[in-house]
Amino acid sequence: MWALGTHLVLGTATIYAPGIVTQFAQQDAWLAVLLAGMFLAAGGTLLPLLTLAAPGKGLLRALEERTTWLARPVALVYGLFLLHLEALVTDEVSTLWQQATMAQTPATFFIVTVGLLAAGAARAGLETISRVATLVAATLIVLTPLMVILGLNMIHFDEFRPVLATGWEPVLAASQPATGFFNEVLLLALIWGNMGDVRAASRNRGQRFWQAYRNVLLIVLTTTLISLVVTGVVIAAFGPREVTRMLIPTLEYLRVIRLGEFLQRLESGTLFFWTWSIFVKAAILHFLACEAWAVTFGLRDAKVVSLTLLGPLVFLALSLTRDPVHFQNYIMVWGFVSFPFEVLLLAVSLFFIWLLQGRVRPPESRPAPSDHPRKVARP
Amino acid sequence: MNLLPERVLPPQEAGPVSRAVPPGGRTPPGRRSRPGRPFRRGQQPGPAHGPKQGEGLGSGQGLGRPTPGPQIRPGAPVEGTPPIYSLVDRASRTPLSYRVAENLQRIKVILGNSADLVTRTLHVPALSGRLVGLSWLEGLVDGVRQSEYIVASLQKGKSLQEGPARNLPEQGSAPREVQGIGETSHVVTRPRPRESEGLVDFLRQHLLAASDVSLGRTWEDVLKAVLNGRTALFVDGADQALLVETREVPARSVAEPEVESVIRGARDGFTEDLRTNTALLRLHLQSPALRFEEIRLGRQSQVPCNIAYVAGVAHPQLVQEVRSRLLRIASRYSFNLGVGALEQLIEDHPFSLFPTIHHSERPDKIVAQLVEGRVAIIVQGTPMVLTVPTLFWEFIQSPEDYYERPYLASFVRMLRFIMLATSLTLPSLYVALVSFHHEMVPPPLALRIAGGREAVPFPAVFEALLMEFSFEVLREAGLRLPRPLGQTISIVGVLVIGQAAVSAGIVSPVMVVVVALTAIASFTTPSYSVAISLRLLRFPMIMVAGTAGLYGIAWFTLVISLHLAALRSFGVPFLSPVVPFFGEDWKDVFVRAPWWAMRRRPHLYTRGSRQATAGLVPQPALFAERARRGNREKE
Repeated sequence: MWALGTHLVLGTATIYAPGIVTQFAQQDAWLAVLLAGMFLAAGGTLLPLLTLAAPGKGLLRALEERTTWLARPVALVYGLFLLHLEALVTDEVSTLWQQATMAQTPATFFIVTVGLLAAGAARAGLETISRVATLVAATLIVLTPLMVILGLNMIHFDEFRPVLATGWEPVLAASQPATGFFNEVLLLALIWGNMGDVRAASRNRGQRFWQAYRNVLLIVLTTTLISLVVTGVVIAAFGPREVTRMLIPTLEYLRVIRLGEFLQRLESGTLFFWTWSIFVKAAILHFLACEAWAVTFGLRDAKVVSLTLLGPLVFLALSLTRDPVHFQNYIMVWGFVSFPFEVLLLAVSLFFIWLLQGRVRPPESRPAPSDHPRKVARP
Repeated sequence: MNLLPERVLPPQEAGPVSRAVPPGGRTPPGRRSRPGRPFRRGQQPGPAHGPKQGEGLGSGQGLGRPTPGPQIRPGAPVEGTPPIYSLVDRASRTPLSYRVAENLQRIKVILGNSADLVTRTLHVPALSGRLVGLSWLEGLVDGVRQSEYIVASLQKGKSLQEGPARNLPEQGSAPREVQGIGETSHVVTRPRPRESEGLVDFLRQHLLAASDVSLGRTWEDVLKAVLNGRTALFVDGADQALLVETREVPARSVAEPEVESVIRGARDGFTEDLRTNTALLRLHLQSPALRFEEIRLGRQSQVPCNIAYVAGVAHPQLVQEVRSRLLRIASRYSFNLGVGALEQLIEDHPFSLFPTIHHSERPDKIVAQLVEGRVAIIVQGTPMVLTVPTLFWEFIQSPEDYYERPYLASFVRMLRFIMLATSLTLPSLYVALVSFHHEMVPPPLALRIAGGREAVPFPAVFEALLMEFSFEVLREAGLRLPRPLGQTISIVGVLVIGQAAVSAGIVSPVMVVVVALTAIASFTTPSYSVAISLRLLRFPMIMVAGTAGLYGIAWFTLVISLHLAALRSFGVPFLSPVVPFFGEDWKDVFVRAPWWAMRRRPHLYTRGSRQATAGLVPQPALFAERARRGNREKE
């Protein structure tokens, strides 16, 4: 859970957040990130509340169990939204690599290869994705302090002064897009019930809530800390004015690092690890998209659509995100655009169902074929 | 007094159970085990996997009567082990004759009058000169032991009248002596069961000096025993045979393992003989909880295979899983193909490049794994023992790690991890840097590399593939040749051909260095199987590095990670305890914690987690006593 949630935030947040946040808050960008973390800790309560509404299954599946006529259109909206989101994430890879070193390699190559890998991961299942996510998250957490240490000679703490020169208003404004990146974690509500940590029968509702909320807090803490470090280091290295001119300041920071006389310009090496992180995010989104499309078409197993969705994904990634400026603007308003889709629509749907039907327990589902007594091996 | 012989039913009429066994040992579904059908995970081996060995057929189990599940007894063969089939099936499943001559003739027929089959008859004075037949396979039997414990004993034994006659059947039911029929001095009538048992019991308890004598009721029992090196002993008037342990298998003695040699550890290694191997395990682990279960592998070869585990530590489900997987393949193959083939037949992911079953030839290593809760599989004829479940990290561990102090062991282990990554990625990283990411290389080094590659007509990717391919050829040639010649070929290949290739401008000097470093790094991986997997993966990785640079390497490593994360070994995630995360088990993954700190067994596959009590930190007794005294004074 921690690894999955962290990856949904980390890749995009560390690449784009420093530039965007600095545009609003200048040298106080680090304060904006800190503030965003505090907002997230408070707003994160929404996630366990939603998942506790349907323990043992994802929200879409819970909605499907209650009513099919509403679940299918809602799932269709989510299916489209998630594919779009995945297309954006997939395109990030090509943007980054083309900007860093491989300008001549066509974007299609990056998009298709990442999409193919994400589809394969979705087919392998959530468990496999979460294991890879844990491995990659651990690597990124080790590499972040390394990145800081390697650039220590460029850091000037004077760049943070004066603190709060323009007051709190720009800091609050800057914290909004930073919070927007975290909204994507709410997408986990669609499948969180499947992960089992809110299902323990021995716990009461309060304990289950706290258990789930601890996971959210851990994600918030990790991502806020890493975003804080990256934003702070970038500002300390270039100064706020320079940072606002850069599209991807983190990449520029890595470009100027010198590792003695042996290796120089480490951005390609860092992109190597970022690719891992972005892939995990794409894989999670692909899995979620598969779930949504499976509900739309009334399929029991979401894995069967994983490769089918590759075509629309490549089409979306190639057609929708060709303009980098459009992409940057899109990210700046990302929080406002994405939030309603990320979980609000589903929450509202569930609320309406609750109003219409009352808090009726859904009928017990039939046992799976493997659980059927006739299928069990006779002693 | 009933002298009429009791009717011995032919196999077709021997009752419902025997009817249920058609030729070839195939049984109808639902009745007995179906050798061809895979067992589901967690499934018991079935309600009846054939009669217990030695019980024979028609032992009173009625048709449709539910029979209890197999009770696995330590040391006893696991029920469900396939009987001998094919060429000898119909003959072997018939009961024995009560005539010695018939029995000896039949064994000759069954074994095709094999050249190494020896039969002999002799008259036993203790049984009033009754005829006894011996049969054994030459080369598998210790002649001295056989002469001393069987032949001499039979000749010297007390006579029937002088001996403990109370053990024999009634006088009236004794076999009648009929003179003048050929060479056979005794023509006997078909005995009643009690008579037959009385005879063989008398022989076993009063005449034979051998310690290990078992009873064979069917030809299947007799053939199994004779093929295993026992001597079969038939007595006129008894439709049972005595199977005397006289085995002397030609086997090499216990020697130091060649592949897994250590500096400070034990020097004994497994041999090809199963019993020697189990004895070695017993010597290293003298616990009553150590269990061995036997399963015969191969429809014709019937090679014994033992499952070893520590009862109470190994998870019962894991033991059951191993048992069922072995039983699934036991009768499907005609011949035992050895541990390598067995491994491929019972592993979880047959299409994976990575082995998910570990093997070792060191008894100390296997014992350590058994104590951790794993299950070992020992096969006759192979000095390698398999252990399951296997985790990826075990392939990086060496027995030496556990004999050295933790700091050195941890350092060496970390070194191995780095070398593992190096052996997989170094050539591809070089290709990626040279082909796509020149900016990462500082100018002086870049100039030197460019200077070296000036005369090379190939792109870096082709150059790397060529060198790697040449290296694999040299390595393979070195392995196939006799050892001194093989070493010479390797040295000549590396030094002479490498130098000549550089001089001719076919490869650059840096590439030679890269490939040599990669080769040396690959040799640090303790597991040969994993080293091979990495060698194979190196080729596609070089190709993707030559096509897409660092991005290609990132993509390919993700493919490998996804594959590894999806693997399981007997149900246990292959990458655990790293993912899924079990912090306590990390004490023996990347580093090797001190012995006194490793007090718990791995969580995922053991039942009892604690393997040592607290307070193991070394502390001189004198200091401890002083501290105790000081505390008392303070109080």
